[in-house]
Amino acid sequence: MSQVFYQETYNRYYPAVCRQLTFMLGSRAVAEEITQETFLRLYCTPPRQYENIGGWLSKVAANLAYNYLRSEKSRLRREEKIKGHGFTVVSSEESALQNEESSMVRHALQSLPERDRLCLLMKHSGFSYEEIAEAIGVKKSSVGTIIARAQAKFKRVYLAQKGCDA
Amino acid sequence: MCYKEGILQAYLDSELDSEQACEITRHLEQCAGCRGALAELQSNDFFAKSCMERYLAGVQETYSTIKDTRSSRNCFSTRLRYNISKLFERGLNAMKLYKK
Repeated sequence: MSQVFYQETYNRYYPAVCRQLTFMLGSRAVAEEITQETFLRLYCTPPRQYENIGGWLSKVAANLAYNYLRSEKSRLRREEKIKGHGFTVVSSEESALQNEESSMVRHALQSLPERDRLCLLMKHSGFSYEEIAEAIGVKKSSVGTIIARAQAKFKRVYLAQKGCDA
Repeated sequence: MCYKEGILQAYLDSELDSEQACEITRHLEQCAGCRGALAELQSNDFFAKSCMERYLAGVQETYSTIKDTRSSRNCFSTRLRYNISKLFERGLNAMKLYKK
């Protein structure tokens, strides 16, 4: 891969990949690290064809994020085991209020099937239908339908939560 | 003939070719049903978009308050790998020049 091509791809897709990962991971710092890792993959083990590099990057980023979340989950479980019942989460009232909105968004996203969730996150990260289709493995013509239904469900679930809270 | 939600969503996202988009624009002028469907999609779209933006803003605000030792360790190792790959690449380029 030529240096120029790599640099161009990096400049073009870094924001979208990083946005997608921030949605998936809920942390800007971790998202940035995994974005770096994604581009490292592009550099070290590039795809055989460069037709849809955005879709490829997004797919790789999603897989790295799933791996991270899996290992993080098992790490937390291990640590909890060591600490026993003395496990406490320190959280100030302020951050709890701030996090309420985030957790509602996260819950509404979690209610979607994995494929539809990734589709929605990719759309709102700035990927095209073609790139979304490549990453989630569907035809480009199905992307619109998936987005329309996923957004309708997202809104329904989100508002239902709000109704419960009030 | 009315359009399905998938096509209308693609229309909304400017993902259709100009010919198809023109066709839909013409149809929308005459069909209240499709106009209604499009308005519904547009409102869902706007709703999801604003939720996502607020979510991201929240993440950015909490960023400085999170202090995760593991992520900083990860950060170190990926940076290190990145630097190594950069060095390697520089070496390769130097070799290419040398060959010439």
